[in-house]
Amino acid sequence: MRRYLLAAGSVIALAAAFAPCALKADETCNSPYISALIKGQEQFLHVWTLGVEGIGDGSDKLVTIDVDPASPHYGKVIDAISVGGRGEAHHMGFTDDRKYLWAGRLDDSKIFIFDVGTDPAHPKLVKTISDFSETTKLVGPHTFYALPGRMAVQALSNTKTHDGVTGIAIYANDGTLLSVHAMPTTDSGDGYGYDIGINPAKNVMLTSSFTGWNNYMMDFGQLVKDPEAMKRFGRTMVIWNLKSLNAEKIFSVPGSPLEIRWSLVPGEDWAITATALTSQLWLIKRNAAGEWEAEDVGSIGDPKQVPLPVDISVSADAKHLWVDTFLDGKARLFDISNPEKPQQVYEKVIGSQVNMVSESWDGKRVYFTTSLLSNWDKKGNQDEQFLKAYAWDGHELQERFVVDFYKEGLGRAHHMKFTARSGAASLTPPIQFSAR
Amino acid sequence: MRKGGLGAFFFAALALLSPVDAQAPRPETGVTAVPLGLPPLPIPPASPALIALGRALFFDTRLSANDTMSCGLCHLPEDGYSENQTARAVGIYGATLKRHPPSLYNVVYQTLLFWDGRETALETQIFSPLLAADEMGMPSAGFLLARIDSIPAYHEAFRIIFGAPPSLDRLGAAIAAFERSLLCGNSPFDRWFYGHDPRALDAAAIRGFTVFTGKGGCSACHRVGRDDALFTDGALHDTGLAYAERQRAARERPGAMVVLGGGLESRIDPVALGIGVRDSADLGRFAITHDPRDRDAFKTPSLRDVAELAPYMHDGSLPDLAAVIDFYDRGGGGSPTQDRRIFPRHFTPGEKADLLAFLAALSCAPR
Repeated sequence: MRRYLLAAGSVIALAAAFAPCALKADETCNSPYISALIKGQEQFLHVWTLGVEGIGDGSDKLVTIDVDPASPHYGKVIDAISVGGRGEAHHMGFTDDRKYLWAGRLDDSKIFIFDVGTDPAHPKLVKTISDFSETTKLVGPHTFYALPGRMAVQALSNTKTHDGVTGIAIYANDGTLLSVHAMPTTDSGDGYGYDIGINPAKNVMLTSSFTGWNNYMMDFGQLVKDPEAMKRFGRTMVIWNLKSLNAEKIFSVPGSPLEIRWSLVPGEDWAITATALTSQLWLIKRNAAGEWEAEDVGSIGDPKQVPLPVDISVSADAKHLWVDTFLDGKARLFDISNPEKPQQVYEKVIGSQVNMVSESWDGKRVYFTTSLLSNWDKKGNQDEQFLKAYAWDGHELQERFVVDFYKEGLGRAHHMKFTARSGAASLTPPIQFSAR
Repeated sequence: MRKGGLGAFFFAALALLSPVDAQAPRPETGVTAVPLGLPPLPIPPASPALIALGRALFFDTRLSANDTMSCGLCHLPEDGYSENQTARAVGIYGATLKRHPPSLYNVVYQTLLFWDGRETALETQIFSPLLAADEMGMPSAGFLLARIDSIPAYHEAFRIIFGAPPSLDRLGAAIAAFERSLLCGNSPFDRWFYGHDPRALDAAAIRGFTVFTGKGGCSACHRVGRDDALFTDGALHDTGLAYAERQRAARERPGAMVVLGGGLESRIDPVALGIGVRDSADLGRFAITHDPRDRDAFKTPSLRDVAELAPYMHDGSLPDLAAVIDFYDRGGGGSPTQDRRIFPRHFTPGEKADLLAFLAALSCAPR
């Protein structure tokens, strides 16, 4: 790992120098360096799907669904690219030019790069990075976060012990490895990683922490019965200097903080996350003295019942936050107009289990998928695997269509990303705002 | 063994194959001299080249079906060639295995391998995990050998060392050679007991040794000889642990109290939540022999380096040595078929503390 460190500063300095200070969105969870956001109707939804033995070809695949209500194929699977084998397909991220989609597997650590810019209705696999573990000594490429001309890849584990001590690899957009950076293990750092969130205007990168290969690959029912394994979850978040990639402050955030969402409103320099095990919302913000701090600002459901918050999605105006809780299958909406006092204002059971949530930029459409990890998903008849699309009118989620991933012979539905054809009215440059 | 001009290339290639940290000096690993406190080696030591090849293979994830698992990821050097992270081992694709990985220290002296003693030689033992669908998942022996031979450094190494390509015998010999080099002795206890250094052991550990060999009856199975000690009899016994676990599961509310972090604990019932599977009973040696006398019998583990090997027992169900001492102090699990040498001992708190001090003195040296 050490041999790559010399390149670190220059890579991130370059990123910061070209920081467009764009608003980011899930559309609202993309990197701020993404060149264009879909602010109108998304046309296609890509679902990174885990293969299941005995279902279809049993392999992981990128599934494309037509989500344009004006299309005759609305709500239908229009493409599926099998990448071969089952490697724990998990998350994806666009390159800064939004032409390529990187998709990772947490088990065999392969990274697949799809061309989604040429014809988003029919992505093409253009490159497979098979030596991620060999070259970085990291395992489990999780978050793919665009930098200018680069891709930051946050891993979950390592080749030496398969525990949660890990790092971040920086690649060029062509798939060339540039540098590797260890998560901090001094000054109370646990060395764990999970998500990345960047606030270019403040020159900060924020990271969260989950767990290592031994735990995320283990059967979930076995895991919760194993006290030793349950000790090995992330309990920190880290503020990094974006330019130097030095860890500057480590926060104690027990219970495994997962997805990071910065407020998209210029001047609101705060981020929010949810802890999976302890079911809390944490706010990361600057205090009156200008210091970054992390604060527990509220519970998600009854933490004693372990609803297991997983994905979150912040609205473009940073007034609302969707929170999925896996074990009770609920989508919960929080009013975060005062982020220090989030209030749950709505909930709906989406299914027997629910994991990912993605909302459109205008917040009028919300999509949910079901799979958390192949060995953590529910079993038997509770193992529903679907994509559900809803309309949100500000009061009620109204179902628009469902794709049953088992009936379609696809597998377990996990991460989602939107695309639209080049030149579509919905694809617009990001809003610019000045660094303060 | 043939020696040729390719030797330098061979060792350089093996160095590249081995994870850097796996090459770092470890206590008594890769050596052929027998540390203080261990018996003479039962077979002559292998050549350094064969041990180096075995080490490279042991830590190489390409010996698993999807390049994710190696022998060394369940038997970690820093965890005493066992694994501290989980109670039961996690295999390929995240499969939950039935048992905790045993330490490989001093495996050269063992005549029965695995917790249930189903193997008798390291050369053949290695193929169980390599080919098991839930461990390393290689689809066939032929596929495994072909993959190894397709890796240039191994292709070269097998021809230099054996004058022949990889085969089952040669692969087994290489990995066995490395495993047999994992010797753990010369502990503070050894230096005190066999080296006659009165300063090597403190008073608490010396008192603990007295309990271990006397009131505790521990050395009935974890044997200590006049000239050396393996701290195991190499035999299989029913301690009552498996029986007790089954009784507890039937008696208690479903689920388990789970520490979630930040002071939060909660009872979680995986089956009720839809995430659990019901375990099948692990009957130990009985599953191999189908002899009722072998029900719940598991091999006596060595206690060398035991302080570093948590969690304990065949299923990793006891989190620390204090819990192990408490288990035996209660007289084991109370199985009707339990070994008669296991009965309540009524240790005092001081005796328990002394036993802990003694067990801590069995660490491999130097750390």
